[in-house]
Amino acid sequence: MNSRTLWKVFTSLRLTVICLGCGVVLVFLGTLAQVNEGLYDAQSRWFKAFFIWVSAGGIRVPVFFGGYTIGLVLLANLLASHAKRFVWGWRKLGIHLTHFGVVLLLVGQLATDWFSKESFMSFREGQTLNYSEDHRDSELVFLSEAGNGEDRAVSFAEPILAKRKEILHESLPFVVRVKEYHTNADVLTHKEVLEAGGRLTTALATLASEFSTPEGLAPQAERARESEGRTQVWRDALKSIGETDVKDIVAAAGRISKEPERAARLEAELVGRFRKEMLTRFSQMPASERVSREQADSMHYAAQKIGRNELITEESVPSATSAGPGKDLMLLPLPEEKSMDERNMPAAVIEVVSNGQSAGEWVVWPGLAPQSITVNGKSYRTALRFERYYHPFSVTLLKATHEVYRGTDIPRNFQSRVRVDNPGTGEHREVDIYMNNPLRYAGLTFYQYQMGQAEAEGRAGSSTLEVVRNPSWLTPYFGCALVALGMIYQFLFHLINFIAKRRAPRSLPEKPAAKRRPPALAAASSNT
Amino acid sequence: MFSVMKRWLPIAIPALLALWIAGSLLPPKQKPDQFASELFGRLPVLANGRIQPIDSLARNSLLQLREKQTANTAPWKGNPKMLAATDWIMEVMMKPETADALPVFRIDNPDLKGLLGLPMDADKDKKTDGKHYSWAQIRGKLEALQDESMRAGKVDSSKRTPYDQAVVRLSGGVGLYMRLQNALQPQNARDWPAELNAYLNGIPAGVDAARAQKAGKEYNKEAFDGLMRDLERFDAMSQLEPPMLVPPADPEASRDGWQNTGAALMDAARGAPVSFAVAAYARMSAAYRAGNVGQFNEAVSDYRNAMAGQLLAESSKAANEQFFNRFEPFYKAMFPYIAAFLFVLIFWMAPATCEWARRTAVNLVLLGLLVHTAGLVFRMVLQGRPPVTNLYSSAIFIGFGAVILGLVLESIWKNGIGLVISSALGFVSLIIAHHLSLDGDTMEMMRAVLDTNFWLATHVVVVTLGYASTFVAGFLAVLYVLLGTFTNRLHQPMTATAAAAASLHAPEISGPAAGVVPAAKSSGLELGKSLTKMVYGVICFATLFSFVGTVLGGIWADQSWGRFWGWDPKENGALIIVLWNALILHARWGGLVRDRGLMCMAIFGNIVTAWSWFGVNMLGIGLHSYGFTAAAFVWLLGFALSQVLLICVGLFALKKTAPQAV
Repeated sequence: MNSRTLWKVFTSLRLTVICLGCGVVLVFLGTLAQVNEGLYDAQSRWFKAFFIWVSAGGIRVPVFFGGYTIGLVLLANLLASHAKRFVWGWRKLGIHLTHFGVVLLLVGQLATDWFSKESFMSFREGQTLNYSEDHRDSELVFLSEAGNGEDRAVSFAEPILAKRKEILHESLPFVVRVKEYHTNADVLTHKEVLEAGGRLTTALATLASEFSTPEGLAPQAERARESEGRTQVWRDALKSIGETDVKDIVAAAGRISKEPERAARLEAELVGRFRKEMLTRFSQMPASERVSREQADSMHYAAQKIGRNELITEESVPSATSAGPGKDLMLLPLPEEKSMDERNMPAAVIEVVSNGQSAGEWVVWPGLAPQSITVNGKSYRTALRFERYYHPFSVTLLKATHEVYRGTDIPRNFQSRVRVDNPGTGEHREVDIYMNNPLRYAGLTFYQYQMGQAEAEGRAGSSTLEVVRNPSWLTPYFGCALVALGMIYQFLFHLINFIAKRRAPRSLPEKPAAKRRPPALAAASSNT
Repeated sequence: MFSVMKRWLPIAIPALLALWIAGSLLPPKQKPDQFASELFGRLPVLANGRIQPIDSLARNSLLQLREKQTANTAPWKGNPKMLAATDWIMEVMMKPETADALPVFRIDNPDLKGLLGLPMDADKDKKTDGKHYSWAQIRGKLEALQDESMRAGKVDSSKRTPYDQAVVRLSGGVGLYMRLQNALQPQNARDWPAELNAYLNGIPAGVDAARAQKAGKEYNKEAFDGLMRDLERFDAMSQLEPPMLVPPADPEASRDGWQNTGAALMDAARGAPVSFAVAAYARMSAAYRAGNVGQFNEAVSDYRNAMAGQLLAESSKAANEQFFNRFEPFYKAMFPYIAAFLFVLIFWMAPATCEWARRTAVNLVLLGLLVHTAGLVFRMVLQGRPPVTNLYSSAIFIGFGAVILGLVLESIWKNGIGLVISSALGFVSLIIAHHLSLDGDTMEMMRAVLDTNFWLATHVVVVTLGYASTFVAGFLAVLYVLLGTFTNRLHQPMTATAAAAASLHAPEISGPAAGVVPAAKSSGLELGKSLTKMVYGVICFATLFSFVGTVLGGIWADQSWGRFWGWDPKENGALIIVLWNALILHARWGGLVRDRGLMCMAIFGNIVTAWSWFGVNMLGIGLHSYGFTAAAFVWLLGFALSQVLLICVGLFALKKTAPQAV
């Protein structure tokens, strides 16, 4: 294709139509894909990409244009067409304005995609932060004292860890060997796991003892009757040993307790069924206000292990590292989070090697406090934490407000009153941040992060702010105004022409020769 | 004679309809020997997070229970015996033993009927029509229902079977019914004023006894037990979270501090003064149970007078909303619209002689629009919000926008096309709104992020107008395809004057040269050409509105979430409309499509818009998902298929365009 044909293609309306059509298809499919892929992944795969890739037999094949390709081609098409056909004139002013607005929007969106950065500040009332944390990325840091009360930090981004290789940095006198890495994991203490195992074992033992004698059956049935769920288990168990009249479980239990052989079978059935229920309940126990994420994960782990008839003892629970603080910890890999509201908690096991000598192994995970490492007499602290962005000012949460409409759980207002202290400018001011009323400060925008009812109750006295740095945040405002102005101008221009043109011939019967428009002009506006 | 009729019918027919609508605005006559249910329905209550009249609570409850705003006391009989919503709720609140026998629970799912052991089919002896059942009939099986609803509740709402949905719905209805039973008095109260007095008088002794018991001293066991029994009863009432009938003690301090009766009574034991409302309702209940009309009516108006001071705002808001409920503007507006549609059809039969029918239709649409607008404005004032706040009101507003656009088109072309659009889209959108309203309260409170009148007034209104105009373009194109396929009308002028003039030249228009007949040309274009212009113009309009609306939405998102564009499904839906409209315009400008192509693309715009309006909500993801029923999905699919069929007709069956006239 020579440059003239290329120029012709890039300035054609046909290309515009093709781009718009591809846009429609892409947006539609990308929206549907969000159902399965989650909002975030679908965005990066469909919209923030040059091509849509599909794996076929291990080979990645591009099957369609991604958002970037379509956007850039449309942009090129727009600019080229204007370069070729640009004629100044009132007739075309609206079109120019509209298209310039669209260019602004497209460029602004690409810039936002490439340059904007989102992070979060999550704090309790009274807490002061001078940094915000990334929503998705984490970093491995090594902190050493810089002398003036501040820390010197060397940090490695998560993708470096994900390679599971040796990493080094000129200012660190040692090599870091990444022995294990999980995108999302929970780090449990042996104590937590043993406790969960103990609770579950005790509960199962109690269960077995409850159904050990035929005489105990009737009283147990009496107790079960209080709960509909337990009654149902009883009925199922009774049916399975061939009992037909299961309406009154106490009466049935009374009858069966007189036949030792059936009583034993019923007891075995009941123990089996209740055991299964209990294991299911433990293995699905959600984290809540009273049960921490670690406790819940410990229960899940214990329930699965006991379900496989394995014992939970000090020896049977794996250790993350063979020595050091990680000896009492266990790494539990979890599936990657798909939802926008949840985040991954990456975990890694690192070994610090200095002069070919291992200085020990450590488990790092955002939920753990920084751990100290001593190498050649110099001490460091290490942590895998949410990537931090430090700001030259600090924010203090003074008061967090969560309100719902009376008698409902519809959220009414989330509000944070904060104080901004900036030593550089000497500013100390208080400000309210609430839904639809962000704080714009120092090139950043602080938004009240949305919360659901559960969070509103559970996190009273705490608040999360979303912190966005987006240098191009104003482009949509201008773009929108330009496009709107342009379209209104253009359509009014045509509408007035059109009405004038209609008026003219309609008066024809009365005044035959009146106001007939010159044919050339009529033809020119008839295709618009 | 006929000419006189022709002159007066365009005025007389709309005037008659207008009279009928105006008549319904008058409050029903209160006969002195009847319970003042009208007044009772006007009393304010805090339910669903907002102050509303008991009338609204009653209507919305019945909607949730049986998808109608009235109750039928004996649906198994041939002639229905209807009970107004307020009359029904009075029974439920004050005389449960009769209310419990009223068949207000609609159950269609046969499996659910089986679970509850209900008669499957209409059976006069069992007092059922096979669809509606009473509390008394289902009460015995609540445990089984509860088990099933616990199970079905855990199933993801998009994966529920029809049976699961019926279970969840009914158990919601059961909860609602129990809340209503316990709103005014404990459901098992027999002589409520006496029981209330006994409780209030027994508080001092009971509290003393409780203190003594706690301190381990000797105590009055009778007083203690009595107090505990009552508190337990009120606690059970309050736990259900019934509608809050008791106004705040100090409305100036907290206008929000309404309480349910149970909670107010428990507070009394802690030394709080008991609101006058509790005693007032007890008085009403006693009179109502005793059948004493005079005392009941006096109790209601005494209570209303007592509220007139500090609670005037709540009281008059409730009264206004009750008026709005009776007005039913969106229901009433359907009648002029459908009538207008019929008159346009008459006009089309004989455009030359039936201009009167077109004029009648114009007036009818104007009448419909007047009622429609009145309703819209009334709603805005009641809610203190811009017109569109939820899916229901978006349907109403889409209808409003389409009707106005249609009238504008009609005022330019005067060929009945604009009237078809106005009347049909006005009617259909109100029908859709009616079905959306069956979910219950349509004036629910706005979640924190939506609680901003500025953005609701700009983004939401503009984007809804974008939907409306895209639909208008789409339906104009549907008309084009239908008229072009099944009639010759596209090649004829359609205004009355043009048709009359054309008929003078009858021999000349029969041939393919129709377009060049001077008379036809003089009085506007042939119908096909003018439809093309209309579609083109409306798409320009739609592009403007959908674009500006969508970008304003982005700016709102930037204000509240910190990102202009988040690829949220609803945002994407709006973006597709913008892209599609822009595509049509560019394809037209580039000469890639002509009339037929333009029409088919505009019809596809209907699918795009329906998808964006309803479809994306069904994905159940993102920030705009409101939750939706599977039935709507079937409708959406059916609509999309019908449009595809029309596009096929347009592509393959549409008669060849007549030779170009100009």
